[in-house]
Amino acid sequence: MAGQRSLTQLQRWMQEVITNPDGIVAGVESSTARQKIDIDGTRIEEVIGRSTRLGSAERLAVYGNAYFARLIECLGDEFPATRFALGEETFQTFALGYFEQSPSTSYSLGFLGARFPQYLIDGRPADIPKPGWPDFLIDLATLERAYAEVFDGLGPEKLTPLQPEALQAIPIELISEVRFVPAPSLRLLEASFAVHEYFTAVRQSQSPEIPAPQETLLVITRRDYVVRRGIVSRPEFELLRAILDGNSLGAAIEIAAEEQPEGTNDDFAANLSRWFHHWASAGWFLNVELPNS
Amino acid sequence: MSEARLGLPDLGFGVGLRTVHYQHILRHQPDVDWFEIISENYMDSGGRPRHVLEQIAEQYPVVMHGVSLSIGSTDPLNFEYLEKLKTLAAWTSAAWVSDHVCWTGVNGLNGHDLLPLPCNEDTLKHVVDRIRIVQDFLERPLVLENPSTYVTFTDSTMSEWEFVTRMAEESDCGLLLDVNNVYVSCFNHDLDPIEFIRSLPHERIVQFHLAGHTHCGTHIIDTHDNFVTDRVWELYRLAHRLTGGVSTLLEWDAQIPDFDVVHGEVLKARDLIHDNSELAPGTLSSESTQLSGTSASSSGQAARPATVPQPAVFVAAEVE
Ligand SMILES: [Fe+2]
Repeated sequence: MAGQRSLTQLQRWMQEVITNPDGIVAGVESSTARQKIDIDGTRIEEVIGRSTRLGSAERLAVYGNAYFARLIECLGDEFPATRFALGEETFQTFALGYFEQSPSTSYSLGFLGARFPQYLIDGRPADIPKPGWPDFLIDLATLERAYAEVFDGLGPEKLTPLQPEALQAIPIELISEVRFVPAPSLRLLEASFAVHEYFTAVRQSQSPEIPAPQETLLVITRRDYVVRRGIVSRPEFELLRAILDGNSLGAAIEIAAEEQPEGTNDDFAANLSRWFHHWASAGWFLNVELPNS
Repeated sequence: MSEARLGLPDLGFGVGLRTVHYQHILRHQPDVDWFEIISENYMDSGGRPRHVLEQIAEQYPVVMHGVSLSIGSTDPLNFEYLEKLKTLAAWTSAAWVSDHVCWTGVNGLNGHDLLPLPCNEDTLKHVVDRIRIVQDFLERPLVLENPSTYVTFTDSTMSEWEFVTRMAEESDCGLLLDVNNVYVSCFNHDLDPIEFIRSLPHERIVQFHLAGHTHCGTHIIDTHDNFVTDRVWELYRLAHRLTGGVSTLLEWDAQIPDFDVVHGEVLKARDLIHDNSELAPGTLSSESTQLSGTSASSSGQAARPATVPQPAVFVAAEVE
């Protein structure tokens, strides 16, 4: 057919039109769409046929309406507590802004929310003192994204966890050189609010209020394909963080001990063996390695 | 190519595997003939979805159904995606791999929708070339489904059935005939669904899809949130007669009821093809039936707005 448009031209035009948040006519009349097919909103029928019941713009609107609605729904499934905290309408506004800035570029919906916590961080109002409600939302979204990644990422289920004897087998003079090998799902999360409790309350269909700030140090992992989370003290958290950063046990202890209040280093030493036992029984680590083993 | 269904087996009456049914299936091992999985939900999984699929693939035949191949897009094919698809097909021993005659985005974007193509010579050549590349890469035939569509292009020069027929013959691929999609698209485009189904190359049809839809008066949206309607059952019976019978699968993706309800719906297809009597109006459709034990909300899924067509399948995390 003479004057037929190329498939590239049609697809680029249609994508511009149906992803315009202001609707089909605004999409058709946007400069980006007119670079592909130069028509105004009265001439859509030149590209898209009408049916006996619907005009061309109304037919395109089926795709346009579905585009953001589908993505927002999927994002809401990934961030149920953040959605609850914001309320449906505000969540939609945030999601819309997020997708305008970070549209999906993956074949999988599993990556849809990957940049959502960062989007909230970037948009944090600077004039609200920390920790305030924006930090609550950021912490909550960070937690929900971590849960999603831990749930469907690599896990420890088919691996052997660290046995308490493994540590005992290390010669005492080498113990400070030991490196812990974490389970692939192990994550640390530092929050200014008890967002894990808020999340659980939403999941249990309660209607929690936004809580007061409370330093919250979380260890997130997975066991039997279900995400688990635990709360740890600041020294234990710092020790875990230093270990996950790749430090040897000796170096990690030095880093973590700095977080101990003055004169309590004896308690720290006493706690170490209790922590190691807990880490082993909780399956947070797979093994201990010496530098040249 | 003359062998029916490309030589692929008739697996019987299957159900689309959905997360809300995982526990039921593992616990009760229902007597369902086969499962169809959404490929993209398992390609990158290292968690429970993959673990469940491993167990199901040991016990049931599995077919892979994708939503992101984007065979009609003018963007380059994504070979990283194809590699993952091939790996998944190998370890699930997938009976075949399917996707849709559509595009999902350009300029690197994925709108997660099944967008329509203009049916003309240029598109046909483009799609046929890409099917050949994908089939070579996967080392197996591709099976492609007619999507539900909501617009037509003035640049189309042939009917969708002519396009699909020539596409299948020139690329030597298989077809997944979604009977509900035929009904939806034909209503939306003022076409005759019987002519559509009669005009297809029946020996190339490997599989049927059945699903429910939402009638909006002026148009129909393919929502997969309800029972199959009487008109679609009638078309199914026609398609069955013309093909001699092929693997049949029910899709239910929103307001998902208990597994037995979904399984019962596809078993109506079995009863229907064994019963040669005329279809009395209202005998099959159960649209007024109360959905008992809807499991969607218990998984944390929000109710899908009734105007959002398929696909949108997100796997929600389970947290203790
Ligand atoms: Fe389908």
